[in-house]
Amino acid sequence: MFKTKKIYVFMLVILLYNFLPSLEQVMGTIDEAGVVINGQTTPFYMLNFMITNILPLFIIIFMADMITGEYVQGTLKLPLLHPVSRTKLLAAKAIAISIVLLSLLVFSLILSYVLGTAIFGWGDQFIYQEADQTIQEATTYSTSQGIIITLSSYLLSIYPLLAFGMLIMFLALLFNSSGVTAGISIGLIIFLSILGEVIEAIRPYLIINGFALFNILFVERDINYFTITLIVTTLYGIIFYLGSIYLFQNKDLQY
Amino acid sequence: MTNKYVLEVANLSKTFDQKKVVSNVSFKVRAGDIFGFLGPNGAGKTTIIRMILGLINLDSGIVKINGYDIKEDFNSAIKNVGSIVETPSFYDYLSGYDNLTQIANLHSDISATRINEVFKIVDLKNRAKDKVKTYSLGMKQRLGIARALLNKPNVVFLDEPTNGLDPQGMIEIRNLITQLANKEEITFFITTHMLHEVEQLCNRVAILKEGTVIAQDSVKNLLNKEQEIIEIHTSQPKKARRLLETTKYITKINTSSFGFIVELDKDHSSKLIKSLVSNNIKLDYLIPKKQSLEQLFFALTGGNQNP
Repeated sequence: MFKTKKIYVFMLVILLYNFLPSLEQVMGTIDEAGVVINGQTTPFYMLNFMITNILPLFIIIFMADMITGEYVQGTLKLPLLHPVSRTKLLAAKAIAISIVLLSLLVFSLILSYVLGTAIFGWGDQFIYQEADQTIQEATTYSTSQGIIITLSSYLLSIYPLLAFGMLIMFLALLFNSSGVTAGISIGLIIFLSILGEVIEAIRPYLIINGFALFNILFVERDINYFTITLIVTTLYGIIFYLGSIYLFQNKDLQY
Repeated sequence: MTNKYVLEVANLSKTFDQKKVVSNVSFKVRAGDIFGFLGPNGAGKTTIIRMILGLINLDSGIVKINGYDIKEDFNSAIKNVGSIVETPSFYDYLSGYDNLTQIANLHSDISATRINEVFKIVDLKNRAKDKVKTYSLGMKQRLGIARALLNKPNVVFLDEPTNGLDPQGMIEIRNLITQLANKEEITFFITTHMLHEVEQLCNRVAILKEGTVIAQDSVKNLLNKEQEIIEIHTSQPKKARRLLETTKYITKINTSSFGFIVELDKDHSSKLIKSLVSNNIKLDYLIPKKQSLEQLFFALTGGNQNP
């Protein structure tokens, strides 16, 4: 799994992405926005973009390759020629993507802590300030709380990403082409993002809203909204996983 | 579990997009057989092998491997099976050894020693640590066989095992199959469209045409037809033809540059010789011809022998 180049390409993307705050610091963008940022909060800021852009894209590419890519190359059938059920194989794929996601998140977490501290200093406390907020309105936690919250946020993020992964798995089993799967998945993210902006009332029920789980819990601190989002995300995960099993059980492997 | 038949296939059928590609296929493979599954391209050989191995769902029919029904107890059925379906596929970015380790991990009882053993069997030990993308097609085919042997199977399915190989590669694979069948007592089920390969390798065959089995038996029985073929070389073709045309046990007469090729009922060749001699027909040669599997195949499938 870790011998594929794709993972290292995404690690490089994450590495470059983690240098963005330094660039913004040099350009003076952060000062202009009047936002306080320090080493304690950098990972939290970085997670926002990671979970909505980089990691979904990684899941799409990785899952499309693991299902349709392997199907076309003829390697998907290999375990099935041994005493391994199709359900177990899909479960193994889901576990595999969780491990890779966890690795990428840990990589990004360490990187953003190190780079954030190097650029902005460690700071006195955890301060999360959005662009349109004053410093008084910012979310603050003590350093130890901040670390726990940051670690929890990164861990919690695997959950909606995995649910999203189940959707991609379903699409990958539906279409026998990595390109089609990737194209439709990216199109779907864009469409759902626009839909959520246009009709705010349905946003909590969209699969991509699950990406904000950590934000809802630790920044918005809205337990009801968090619970709804958690249930919706879980339902999406279960439905698409069961749908994937159904498709896979009935799929004739002709490659 | 012991069973006289390693593989039993009954009334197998499959339809794709309203086109029936496999129709009521039935056959049995005995332990120790090298069973050839013959058919022209598109006859349905690969579809059937995939159905047997559970990769393609059955519309109807029963498949039993080592006595276990694949629908009822797939894990037991597949446990002692090795296979290569079409061109062997690998993770090219991994070494041959790592590719086999991946499969070994699916079984609880395959050790590193066994992986080394199979590399030795297929004579790839010195390339085991190299990435598969550096392997030639013949080496990939041998690696595929090594992978198929990992779980010490009693039956191995090989789909077109010599496809794309050069003559030397073909000979190597054939020798390997024969050696494994004899030494390891492995039953082989081989699909191919290469008739000479079947004649050299297999003891039993089934011939497939348009998704239906049209003949199955031992190679010996299939070739032991109720007909004999004799080449008659003569300088008196007109006289000879008059006699041949009036001879009841002759079923077919083909004219040739040297005389005739005649098909006659079995055990009548000596009668024909006597008749030709007693009618003072000058004979240069009389050559009995053995029917090849190729001739039989084309006769049964209606294919063109000289495309």
